[in-house]
Amino acid sequence: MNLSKTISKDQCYHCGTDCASKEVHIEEKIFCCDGCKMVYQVLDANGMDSYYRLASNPGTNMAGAFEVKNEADATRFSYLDDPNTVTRLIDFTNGEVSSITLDIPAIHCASCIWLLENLRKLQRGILGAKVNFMKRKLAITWQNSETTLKDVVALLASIGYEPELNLDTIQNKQSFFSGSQKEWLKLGYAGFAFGNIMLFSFPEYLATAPLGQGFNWVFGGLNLILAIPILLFSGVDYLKSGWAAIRQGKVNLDVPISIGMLALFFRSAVEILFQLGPGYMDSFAGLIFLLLIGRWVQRKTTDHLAFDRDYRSYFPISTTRISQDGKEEHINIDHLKQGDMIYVRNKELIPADALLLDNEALIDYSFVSGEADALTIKKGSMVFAGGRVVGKSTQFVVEKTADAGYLTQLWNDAAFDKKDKEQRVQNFADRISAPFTLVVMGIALVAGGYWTAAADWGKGLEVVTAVLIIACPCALALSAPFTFGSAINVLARNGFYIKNARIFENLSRINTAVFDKTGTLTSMRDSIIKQDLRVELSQKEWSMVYQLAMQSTHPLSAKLGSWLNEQHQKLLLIELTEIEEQTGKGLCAKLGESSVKLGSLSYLREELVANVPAKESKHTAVHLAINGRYAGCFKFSSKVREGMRNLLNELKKDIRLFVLSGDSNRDAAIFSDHFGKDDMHFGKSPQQKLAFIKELQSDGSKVLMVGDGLNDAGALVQSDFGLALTEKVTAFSPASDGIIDAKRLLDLGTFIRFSQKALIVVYLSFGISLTYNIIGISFAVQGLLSPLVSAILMPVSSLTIIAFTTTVVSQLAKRMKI
Amino acid sequence: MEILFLLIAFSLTLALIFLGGFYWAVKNKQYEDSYSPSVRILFDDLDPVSKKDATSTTITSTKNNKEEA
Repeated sequence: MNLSKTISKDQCYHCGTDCASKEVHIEEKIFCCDGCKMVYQVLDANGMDSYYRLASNPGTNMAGAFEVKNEADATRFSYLDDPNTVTRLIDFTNGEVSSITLDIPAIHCASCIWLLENLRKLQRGILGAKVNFMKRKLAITWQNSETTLKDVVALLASIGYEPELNLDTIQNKQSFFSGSQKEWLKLGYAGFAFGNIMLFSFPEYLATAPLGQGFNWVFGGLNLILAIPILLFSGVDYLKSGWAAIRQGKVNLDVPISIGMLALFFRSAVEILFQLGPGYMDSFAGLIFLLLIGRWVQRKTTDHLAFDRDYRSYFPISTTRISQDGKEEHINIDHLKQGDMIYVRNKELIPADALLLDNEALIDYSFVSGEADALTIKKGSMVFAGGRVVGKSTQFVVEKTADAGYLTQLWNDAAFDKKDKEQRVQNFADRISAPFTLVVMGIALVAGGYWTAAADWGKGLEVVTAVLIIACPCALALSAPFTFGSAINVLARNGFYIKNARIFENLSRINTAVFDKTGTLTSMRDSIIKQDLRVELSQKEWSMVYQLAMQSTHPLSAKLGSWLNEQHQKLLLIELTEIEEQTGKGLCAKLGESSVKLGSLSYLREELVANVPAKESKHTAVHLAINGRYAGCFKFSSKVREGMRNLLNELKKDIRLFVLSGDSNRDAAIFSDHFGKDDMHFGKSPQQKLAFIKELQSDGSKVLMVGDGLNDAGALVQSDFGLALTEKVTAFSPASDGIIDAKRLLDLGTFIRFSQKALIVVYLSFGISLTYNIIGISFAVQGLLSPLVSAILMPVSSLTIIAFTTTVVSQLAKRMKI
Repeated sequence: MEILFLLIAFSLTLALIFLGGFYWAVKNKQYEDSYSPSVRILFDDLDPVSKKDATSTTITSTKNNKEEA
């Protein structure tokens, strides 16, 4: 660890973001924004600058946090004042001391651990804090008389470590530990037994003369005793899985493994008990040990990412209800009832399907339905849970509870049954299991029959078990976990996280890709604005338009404001008067004698503006009137994500591409270069998206779905590989098989090619392990299989596979420069 | 050769002790987080402020929040 860190010139001292200017600074330390500077000041004042010495630029980017703090922070966490909420969240309390486990996705380095575990220095009353880095969790204990949960959470948020608190965290309590202890013990015991059994078997292999009877009993007996827990504890999952498959009339890879295991164990037990030979317990222990290592490789991937999130992780814990006597109170969302009056503030989520009580409201549905523009809703209309209120606070009356809403209905679809998806995945290994098992059984029976005829049934039985033992597909079972496991690690380094090795194969096989539009093909944040003006505007008039646009919280207005600011260098600082806004429609203001109005066409008409065109334009547009005359409009069109066109051209070569959007088809033109006219589908509801994927799959297509919002959740689950796109990997993303950092989406083509090559590596290693099997079987059918041959052949084949797959995958990654 | 029986007993006992140690470590949740302990051990050396100083300079902003709410 480098404790004498040099400050790089143009990176934010706190978060490492490249700074555009050196405006925000303290002495020689530059910050990218006031938020970062403030966190630094807080830590510095408390003598906690070690934070910056443990790792370079360890902080979370706080841009924007500074403004938010002043307005809303006082009320943002006030729902944590409600004792009912607190009781449901905390792990433990005895009245004086309480503790809680919080999910903090921002934890990423040694400095984070240090800062969080020294929280007591920042706030009196915090008794202790412990980080579980692997799971990104923080367990905090505090004294109730000194501080509250709300203060603790507000403190964490203020230093850039805001915990995840949502409907899901309150319904399913966080656990500080992963609960993988049993798996560790299984692996540990198998390793222990393998080592000892091997030692006890050595004398037999090395002895030039037969060992004494006493030794045989001791070694054999100890081997048998050590092996029993391997069968009943360490390896029992394979037996269970194999048996479950057989009962369903299927054969998976665990079936031949189980047959091999049982043959090994019982043949060895019989040999030991009847003093017929030393038995194969070393092969048995080695087999289970290696298999468990394979499972461990598969498991240790991405513990801190959540792939199974549903709408509950998107909804907040509580909302403001207006009680009968008109008072505001916090209520947990899962306690909301039909008829409750609720109060939703700017940028807050509507927690349940509800009717609007105010005259008008502006609702942003982009995340839940894919519609890019906010909608204006009139009094008495239904609004759906998941929409976000834009602008002023609004009152609603609840119609349906949160889990019965229009949006959440989607989660009742059969596609969301997790087990079902796991079973639908038919891997190469599963597919060859049935023929493999049949062939091995066939060989065993034929060879057994031959030897029974040639010698006696004892020899026949010996040959049958020998074939079953040596054909046990240990190496086969290891090739997929190790290949895909290391491929998953390579991709994770590149910002592409895959749920598990089982699902990886689906990515290699896709031949159809379906893209969501809003937020995926187009970037949510920026859009292209074209001005279509009938008159030249003076410098003063431009300034008026800019100032007016900045007055409104309407998303279009805000976008227009920042665009104008970029376009015009010398905007004048002026004070507008008589500013009036009609939510969702438009606004007007005056400067001396001149007036300026911005809004929809109908708004300008209502305001009696002259020369307003009769026809609505096809584009989303904001119209402008100056001094009571129509002056033109600003047209908005979605901007295709940068580099997206290259990616689409690359993918088009061997993958069929579709667009599937919840938005209207006004942007269809900008994608016509890449998608056929019939391959673009607009205005689809989440349910229809799911159905569309199903339809594609019905004629055998393997579908990759790329989406980002809750409206894609159904399609992501139904598809063969659901890929959720996210600007911040730890931020909310709907349930999926993979999560990709938006910055790396452009490399998707490379990633898919890499996955296809990884599949070829699996085929090759299957070939290698089959070769080993054939060699082994050729010994076995001749009745020549000795414990020594088995003890050498089985580990060697498995180790070859492990070495082969991991080196080839890392070479591949190097060659493809990922 | 009979000495081997004794040696086997010794080696197996030793191995069982190690197995017991492993069991304890797993149950003690040492396999839960393999990263933080490795950095936590370094924290003691870089604590320039004594506990007393630190608690007297708590942040005031969070206190204010509480009063407003």
